[in-house]
Amino acid sequence: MSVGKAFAIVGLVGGIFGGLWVFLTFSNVACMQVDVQPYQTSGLTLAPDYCSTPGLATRLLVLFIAWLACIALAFVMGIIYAALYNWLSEYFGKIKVRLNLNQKGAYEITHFQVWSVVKNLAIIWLIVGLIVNVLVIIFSINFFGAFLSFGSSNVFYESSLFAFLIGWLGSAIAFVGLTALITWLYNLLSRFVGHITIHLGVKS
Amino acid sequence: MYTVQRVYIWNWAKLCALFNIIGILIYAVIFVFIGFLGGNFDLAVFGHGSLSGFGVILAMVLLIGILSGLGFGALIAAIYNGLSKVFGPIEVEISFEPENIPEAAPEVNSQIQQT
Repeated sequence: MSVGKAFAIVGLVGGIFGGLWVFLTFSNVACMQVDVQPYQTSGLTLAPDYCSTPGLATRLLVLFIAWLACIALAFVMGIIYAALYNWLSEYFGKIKVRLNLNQKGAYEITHFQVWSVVKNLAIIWLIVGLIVNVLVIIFSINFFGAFLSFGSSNVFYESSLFAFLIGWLGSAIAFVGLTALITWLYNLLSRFVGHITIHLGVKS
Repeated sequence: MYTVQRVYIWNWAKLCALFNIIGILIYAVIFVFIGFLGGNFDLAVFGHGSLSGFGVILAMVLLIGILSGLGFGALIAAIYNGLSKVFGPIEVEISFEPENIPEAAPEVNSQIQQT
């Protein structure tokens, strides 16, 4: 729960920027729908006035909803990640760090054991990525399947399966590589720019 | 059980800026690599057709990356420090390896001795 709250803080800040981006580009997003028309094979047509610029109130509402959604999503994801870590690290080993007490009485994380970080995050990402990619594929089948013609439905579903495997395993491999790189670079470079420094307290 | 009471804003900001720089440089290498693979140097230098044009763009992006990294990192850390007092800090369980117990802060040291 505490990690979920910390994630929500990141969502709170990120959501402001994300919401602002939506706010500023919302009219363009709406207009992009028109570009879909040449690919339509069904009888569905979009009304020409669909590309009208939304009013200020609508855009402010979208901004607010996007912000709240970011906070809620970050909160839920934080709880999921923390719960998965607590559960899986029992079997695969905890994340190991080296702590150093500085002169101000704060702890510096001077070193992450790369393999312990990569192992845990890779396993978590395999589970989360599986769910995310299944949702993406289901969404894309429903969305694109409504107006795209693949000639044969088998080709469409085989393509979807292939896309799912690439999306899931590919992102997991990329995530592992990126995590290893970031952890290794942190160990290497944090001595020059300063380590992550935290004040630890004891929970009463 | 320990709680992360406060994070150091400046350290966090510097680390965010550092990783922004690394990320931008990796992207730059990938763009150039794709451009060369495609046999199109114009594409490699973002369509500016010259190395100096590419350098200027890269320097600008790096500057923006450094500033945004500093700003975003500091903002996140500051908001965490502020809001964690209201909503509660991150709680972590730390177990020390017997041969590698760090020197402990007074308030933590007393807890370690008790446990």
